[in-house]
Amino acid sequence: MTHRKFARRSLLHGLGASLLAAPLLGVREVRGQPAPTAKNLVVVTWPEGLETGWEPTGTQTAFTLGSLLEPLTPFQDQLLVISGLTSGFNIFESLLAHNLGTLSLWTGARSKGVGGLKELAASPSIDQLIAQKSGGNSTFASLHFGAQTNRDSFISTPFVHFSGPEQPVPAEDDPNVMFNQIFGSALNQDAAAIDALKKRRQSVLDYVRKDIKRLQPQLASSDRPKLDAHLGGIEAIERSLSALGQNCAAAPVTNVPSRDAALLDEKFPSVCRLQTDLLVTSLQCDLTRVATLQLSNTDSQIKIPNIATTRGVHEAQHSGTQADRIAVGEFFVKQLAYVLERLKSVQVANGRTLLDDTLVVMGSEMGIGTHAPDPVPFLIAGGGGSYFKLGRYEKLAKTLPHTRLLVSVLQAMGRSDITGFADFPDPDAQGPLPFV
Amino acid sequence: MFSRLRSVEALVTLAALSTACQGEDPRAGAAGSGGGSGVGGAGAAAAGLGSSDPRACALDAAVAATPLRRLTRTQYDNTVRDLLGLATHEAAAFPDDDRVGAFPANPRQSVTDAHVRRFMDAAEHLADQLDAAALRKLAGCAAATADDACADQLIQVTGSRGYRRPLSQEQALDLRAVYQLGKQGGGFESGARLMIEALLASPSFLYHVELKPTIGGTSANVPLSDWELASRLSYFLWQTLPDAELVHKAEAGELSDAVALEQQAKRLLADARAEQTLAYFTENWLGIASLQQLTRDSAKFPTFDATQARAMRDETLAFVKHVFQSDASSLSELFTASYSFVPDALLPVYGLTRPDRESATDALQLDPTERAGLLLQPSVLAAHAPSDHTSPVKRGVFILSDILCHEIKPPVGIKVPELPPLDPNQTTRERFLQHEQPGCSGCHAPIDHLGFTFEHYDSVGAFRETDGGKAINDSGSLEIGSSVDGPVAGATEMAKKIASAPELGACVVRQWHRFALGRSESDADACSLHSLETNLESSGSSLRELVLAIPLQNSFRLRPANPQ
Repeated sequence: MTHRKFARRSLLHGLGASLLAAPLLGVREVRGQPAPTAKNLVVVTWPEGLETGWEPTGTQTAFTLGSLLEPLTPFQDQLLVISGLTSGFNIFESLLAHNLGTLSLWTGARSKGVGGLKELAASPSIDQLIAQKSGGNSTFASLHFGAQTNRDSFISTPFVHFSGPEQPVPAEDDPNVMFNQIFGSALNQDAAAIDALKKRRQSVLDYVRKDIKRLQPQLASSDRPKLDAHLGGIEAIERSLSALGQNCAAAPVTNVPSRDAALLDEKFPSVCRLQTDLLVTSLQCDLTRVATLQLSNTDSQIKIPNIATTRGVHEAQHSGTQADRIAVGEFFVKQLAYVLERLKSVQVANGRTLLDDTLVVMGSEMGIGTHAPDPVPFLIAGGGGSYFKLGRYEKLAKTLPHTRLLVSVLQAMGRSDITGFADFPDPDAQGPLPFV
Repeated sequence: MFSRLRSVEALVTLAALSTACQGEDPRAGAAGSGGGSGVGGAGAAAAGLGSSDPRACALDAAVAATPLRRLTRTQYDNTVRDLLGLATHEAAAFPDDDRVGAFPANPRQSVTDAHVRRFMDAAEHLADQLDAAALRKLAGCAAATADDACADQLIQVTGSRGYRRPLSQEQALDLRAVYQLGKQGGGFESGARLMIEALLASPSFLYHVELKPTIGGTSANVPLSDWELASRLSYFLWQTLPDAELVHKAEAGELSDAVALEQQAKRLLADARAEQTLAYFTENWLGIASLQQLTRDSAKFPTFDATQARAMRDETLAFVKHVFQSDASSLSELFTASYSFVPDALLPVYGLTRPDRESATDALQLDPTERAGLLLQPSVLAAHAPSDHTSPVKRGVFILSDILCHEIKPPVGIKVPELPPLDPNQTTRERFLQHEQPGCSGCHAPIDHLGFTFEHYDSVGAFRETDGGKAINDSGSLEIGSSVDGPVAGATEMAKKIASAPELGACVVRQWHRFALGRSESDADACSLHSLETNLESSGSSLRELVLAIPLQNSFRLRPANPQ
């Protein structure tokens, strides 16, 4: 699909520029030593970091998680806590850090300072780089779950995932929509009805394809990539059409609030959990290999119910007391724990759990609640093949750009061809994390 | 103590010395928040040029290309309503629209797989709501018309209206094939539904398609087709597809005539659908569209709720509609009026009671020392304030970028210290003192010194006498490189200064131009923008005249002969 080629081309171009600028940077020769690859990738994003003091105490292999990360204790042997990574911006400014951190978090892109406060990332995010390579055989190349990620922020784009330059991949905040996308409207229908539905949908897709092919030569060349992307979407739907009506033994998802209710503050915790349930189900049914979960967005105004602060997330983080920030941070860490708990609860073959087959990467667009660029709490959990040594706490001796983590995740998922990002040309920013 | 006392020279020196803002003079740019390359400065444009104006609108001058845009969510829902008679909000499930500055429009981004899925879902869901009777009615079929003949009629009617251009024979045949396949599952209704589904799912429906010109010639530009003009006009003023009369004019080839086009613009503007468009423009321009989601600190504002938030928005929309529709339709009235249309729920914020025998639809006289135009209405003041304190930066940035189109560059590449935490014994202004140091003030002076003048208004837009237990200092200044730059004592004076700034008219022209075309302005729009600015000035700053002049501009009627 052309938009995917486009994304890849721009990235390679970016790498080329870095090669010229920094001879130290090289594409590591990895042929002959196949990268250990986890089956699934899950990327979880929560807003505005964690209050200072989130870091564990102890040594690399014998550590205590501490109060903020405490909910993750049951998964400590499958957890890697990293301290010492910076966010994708190097300023300390409350207003701008939101957008700069957000557009950089999973893309390794940096602001060009051209789009004002709501500038979008100029390169694809790691989940898409991985989905573009390995997602083609799945029913869904990637799935993007959200909980209230789409609220207007005056100062920042909400998007953390991108398929290409300025091409955000929005998270879907409505569990109903995600449910329908994953299971189609064919649940509990007989084979003949499903077959008829497939035929109807295919005929619509065929017509849309004809419309695109007819329009393309009559459009300005700069407009054609837009319809190429549309065609890519049509092809993606065709792939999932074949899975329509296929049964999967996953637990049914119940108590889904209506779309409007899903946007209410008091429903936020339940939507976080429902979207996690759906995400786990989509992996369990092998409908996708790449799934993302975004919990609200930066500059979030949500007032989380039943926690020890009545302030909204951003208010708490930006101008609240330490107790406010801890209350908000604890909520999000509990959601991370829930993701791991659900993945671990699913048994796959040979006594393995879904968590064993899944590389879970969790991070935030800024470090601590007062908008510091470092240290950003980054957490790795689950399987990850043998790439990441888990059950560890890695405190970097020297602060490093978060692009090192991005490269490591790409390598762990079989994309060893990417060793750096054009927007981070410093020698420090090249290659994987120093300890992998 | 604040730099409103400093001379402009001192400010320039400060900015030059400072590494903040990468040495940029913060007053230099004026491209606004719409992104894109920008057209010189709003100030420079407003200052006017001599008779040898290089931006004169020559007939064969180059014009900017308008990229292929997807319908916005609002446009999608309106179009479905007018095409199929279905008043649903199907587009609520679509991912958010991209924005051009303040306005939803989709000129840049391509769709993702998620978009395409939502479009397909919506098409299926909408088509399934039409029964045989509704489908026959849409097609205008007589009772005696046979099913297949009626389907052909339906294809012609909905195809041409839905695609906003004549249906090609090929398209009609393909839609007929879809109908035939669908018919196998359950007759006319099933077939016609599937045909409608295909129509709604196709890019010819989902995008504002403007085809590459086929005629050659030496001119750098060519006119849009009549159908494309009808569509642009209708989506600009009504946010929906052209009605029967506009279609008729397009079919007759009359819209290439400027007089006929203007006549249609006037007709559309006089319709109730244009009122909705004005409200839509206003709420996006001022950042108050999602005000009902606003949360405020419940300890500080115990009476604030969604009803009050809605009332804030309603007030501003009613006020703007009143000014726009008044005889003068005056832009400066928007920023200076000391009356408004205050809903009951908002009276407590104003601290007012309604005089006997008056209702919320009557203009309520406000204290002219406290209120002047829409910048001092609770909607705008609250939308650009955090939930429990004020932010001169938020208010300042909003006014600079969206009201004055004064470009603010983010301080990329420098380490900016965090503001001190909130302190109940400190005024907001004291908290922002930190911005006065060299390195910060270069960029922050124009923002903060504008924002400070609004310090008498709290997070819900109520007038307050004190902040942090201290009297409020609301002196500030306008520092945008304007002819009216200078010190200001308080918000009402600031509002009046803004109303008198030539940058305001230039910016409002840009905002409407972005809204009308769904894209940022570029260098090639200079003549059109300049002509609109001149027009605005000569009409006594009439908003209505501005809106009516936009469809007549080269940027609206022409396209590049050789688009890239």
